Amino acid sequence: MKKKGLQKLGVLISVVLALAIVLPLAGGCTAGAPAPEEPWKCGYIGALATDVGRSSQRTTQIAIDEINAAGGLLGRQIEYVEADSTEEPLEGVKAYEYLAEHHKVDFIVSGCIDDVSLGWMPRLLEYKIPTLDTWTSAIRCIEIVHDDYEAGGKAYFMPHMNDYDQGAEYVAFANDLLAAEMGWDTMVLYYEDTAYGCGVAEWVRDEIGPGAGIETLGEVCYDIGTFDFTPVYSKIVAYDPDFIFHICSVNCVPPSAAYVEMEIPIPIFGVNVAACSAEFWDDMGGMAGGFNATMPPPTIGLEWDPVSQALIDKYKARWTDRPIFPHFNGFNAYQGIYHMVEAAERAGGFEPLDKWVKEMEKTDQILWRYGGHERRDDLSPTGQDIKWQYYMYYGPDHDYTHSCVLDQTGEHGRPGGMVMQWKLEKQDPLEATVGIIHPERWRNTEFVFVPWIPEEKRIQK
Amino acid sequence: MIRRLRWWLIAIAVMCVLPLFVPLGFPVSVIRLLVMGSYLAIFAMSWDMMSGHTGYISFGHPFLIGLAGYVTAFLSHQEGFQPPHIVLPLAVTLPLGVAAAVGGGMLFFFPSMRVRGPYFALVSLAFMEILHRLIIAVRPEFTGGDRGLPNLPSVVMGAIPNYYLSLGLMFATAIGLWYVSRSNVGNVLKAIRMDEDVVEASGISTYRFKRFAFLLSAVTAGLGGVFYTHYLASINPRRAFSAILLLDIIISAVIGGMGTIVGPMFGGYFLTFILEYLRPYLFGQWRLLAYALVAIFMVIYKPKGFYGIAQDVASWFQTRKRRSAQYGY
Amino acid sequence: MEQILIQGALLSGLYALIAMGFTMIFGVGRVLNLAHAGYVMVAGYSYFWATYMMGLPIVAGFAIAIAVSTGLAVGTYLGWVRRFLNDPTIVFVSTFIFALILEHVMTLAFFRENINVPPIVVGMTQVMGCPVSNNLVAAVIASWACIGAVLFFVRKTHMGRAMRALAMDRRGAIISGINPDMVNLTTWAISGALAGVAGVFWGSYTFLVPSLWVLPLIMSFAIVVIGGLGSIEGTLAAAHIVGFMETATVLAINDKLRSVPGLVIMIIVLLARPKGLFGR
Repeated sequence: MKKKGLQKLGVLISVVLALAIVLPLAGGCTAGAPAPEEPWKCGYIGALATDVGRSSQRTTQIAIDEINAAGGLLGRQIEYVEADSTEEPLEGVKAYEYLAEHHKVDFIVSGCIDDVSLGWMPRLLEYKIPTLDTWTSAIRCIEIVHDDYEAGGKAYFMPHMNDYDQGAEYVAFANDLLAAEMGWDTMVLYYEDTAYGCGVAEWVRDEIGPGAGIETLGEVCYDIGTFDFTPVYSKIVAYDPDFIFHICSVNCVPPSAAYVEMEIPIPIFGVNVAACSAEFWDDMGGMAGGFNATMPPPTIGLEWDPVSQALIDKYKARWTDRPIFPHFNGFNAYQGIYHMVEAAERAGGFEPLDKWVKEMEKTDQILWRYGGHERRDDLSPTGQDIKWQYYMYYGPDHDYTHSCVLDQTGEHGRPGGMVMQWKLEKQDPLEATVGIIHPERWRNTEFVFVPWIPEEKRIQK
Repeated sequence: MIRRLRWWLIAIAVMCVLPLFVPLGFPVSVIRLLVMGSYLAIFAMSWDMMSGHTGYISFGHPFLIGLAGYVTAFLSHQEGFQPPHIVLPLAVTLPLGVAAAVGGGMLFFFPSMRVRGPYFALVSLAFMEILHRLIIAVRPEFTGGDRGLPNLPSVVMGAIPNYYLSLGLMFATAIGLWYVSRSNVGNVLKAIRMDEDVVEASGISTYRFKRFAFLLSAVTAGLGGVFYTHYLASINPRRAFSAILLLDIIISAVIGGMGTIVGPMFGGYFLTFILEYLRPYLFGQWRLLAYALVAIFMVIYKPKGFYGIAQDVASWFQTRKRRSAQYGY
Repeated sequence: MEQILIQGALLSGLYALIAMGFTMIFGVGRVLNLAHAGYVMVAGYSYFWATYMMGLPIVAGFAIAIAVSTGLAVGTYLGWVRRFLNDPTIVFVSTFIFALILEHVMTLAFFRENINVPPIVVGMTQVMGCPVSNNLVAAVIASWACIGAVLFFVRKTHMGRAMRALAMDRRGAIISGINPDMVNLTTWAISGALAGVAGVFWGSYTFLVPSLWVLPLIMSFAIVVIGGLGSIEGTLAAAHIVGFMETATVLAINDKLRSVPGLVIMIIVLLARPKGLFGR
């Protein structure tokens, strides 16, 4: 009797299996080429279990809903589809293929981390689908776009600064605050071994010495899988620098927590991506006080322009789980989608690609601090509106093709290398817990040292 | 010969005509999945040749695959190895990659086959982890370190050429290994799996048979590894030596049916498809969870895999036929 | 040099605790439970959930962590491992998948971000000129207490002697009236509880992330193989060999090669003396 039951189970399982393989075939067969009246398709690719991925995933949805509510793109609605890339490069390739071939999307928004983006770059060259990459700033991606521009790289856009431009911003910060104001002249470069960490470190290493007169005593590079930071910090303390310049994007909480737990008597500055998220306090188990981070402008701890504020309000009304406040790539995605859609409106769609790319390269957008899309001097307390965000893409002849233009002259008003700091005591998770300490014109709080930094290590001037 | 191969020929014919339906609306995404499936099937069969047949469970198969992939990637990627700035053509790097897998395997992996059972699994896992660490830490400016080597040259471009390439490799591997598996050599290997001491006692040198199985396994893993690397056109240590790839290979082989070659082949396609099939219905992590749950249920409740199920089904039909012949119902 | 000695000793204590449960299961049941490191990870999350998110006292956090990991271990054993004790391959593969399932469940519950567990004991102490976190010292003291308790249990109680008997000679033990199922279950429960304690301390020593299980698993492998699978004394000695080697490598060479010396020793030991340094 038992044998018979097993045999029946076998038949059942085989039927289910056959269905499992046949059904997607059938499902795919019906999806032919999109007819003109069908909606555009926007594909989102990213790690949906991470804050980074969810930030841009959600703001992408908000932007598309807004565009649809306003009548869509060229009279057609936009349909949103998504694929989880996880943090595995292989899954990223599969997800990209899925969007490109199963859904035949018209454009893609990505919130992938560096390795994953680099993993699907060859697929981008093959499919030539307009792609907006909102998280990675890897210079390798930009190099591929520059070198293989005609081969398909031109479809790629990065609505924020690349590694090298970011490095330039951090150098400016080191000049202004660390060298000029604090009077420090030695540092240790402390960075994680990722495309991002090494890219920025390269720039900081080559530029910070000559630029700010700060001597790099040593470099400590750690693996993102590191779990025990005691030896790492021992090495740093042995150099005895004036401050630590820390660069991390993937694995930020562990080194930060180790810094607090070990009470390292040296001030730490630099790029700490996790410290810019509203969850940082809780992720650190309540030990985040005093941490600071240099970030691209959209950050917690600042009053917002009306456009971004509207986005935040919509975001908070729709989602209450983590991340409760979008990471900066959420803002990149939101603005970038508008650039893509506006370029498509001017070019009459995403095809032909050349025409769309030409229009996209013409993007030149300024966000005003008080007025949003238009200048409103009357709203500003000083009687003068401030240029707040600036979006423009480098062209094919520039080395940094299709990443956002760095406006270091301040002519267009991009706030250079904004530095925020967590206050020592937690208050409201969103309000007044953090403040901006640099640059001068955005400063809304004073820099404080964590209590265990000895007096002689504090200010040298 | 033809008679024994006829099912293979039918399968090859069906698979070969599939791309002809693409202009008629057959989705390219399925072709892409079949490419992924073919590579996973190659790895699973390669694993099966060594572990499924002899019972030496390898937890380090990505060692062979990753080594082959890294050698060809390193020699052929745009910046070459520097200095001097040399970029070798694929025709040279592909065989070198396979040779590396075989050589590295014979040097490190094969001697470990002295220890049995879970011990061999541990040693093989250790080799994989050591290679992973060395690639990250030693001269990262050459190996690309944690970031790997992006933007490698492709052997062929596009879905359909890659499909035929992977299919050719897959069928060559499958028929070759299947043939060995059904021969006397295969029987000896399976006997080793049951009880190595008894085989040894009956005067057969198990060493030579194990070496043969291992060589076959390393060659196919290397072949799969080099073409897979160039198909993905980038390599990085986290992907090449991940527990996920290892698990995919082992699960494909186990749920297909260990020691049967055909089972692991089917298992490779099945895993690739089930994961993609779940994508529209389950979001994010739920999909991976469902996949793992399916795998664990298969391992626990159907340790003989699909091959065992197919045998059950066949015997069920036979019983029915016999019964209807006997009793007329 | 002092730093290698101090940090090596502390790290070894934690490793010994994690590897202990792993080796006990192999000793008694002759199967490798790869999900063991998964229990460690889940216990760390349970502790964080109870103490930081729910605001419960530390003792309650410990109790919950231990209860969860013990429950998982007993569940694994009763759920399916019991039926496959004579097929190590199935146990090997299925527990590996189970660890992965635990990872996915934790990702769904707590997301993939790294979470820092507040230290159980705050502050730093200078020992011979090296900074040592009090938390780690507390963890090691607790590890040694647990190890001592396990040694006492195994040597002095009836159940402990039954476990050793089963490990030495399965058939003989069964003939002399030992119920292997009961002994196995007890072993799994104890190993789960050890994983719970280890999880809390490991989590507070490092940080929490759903893939936390991979490294402790690999290190436990190396330790139990070097020490001789199933030998508790061997595990203790091997944990110190691996711990010191690792600390020395990290401090003197490169922290990315952290796991390599342990694995190399493991391979050498396996090929030269497959029973391990202290195995019988």
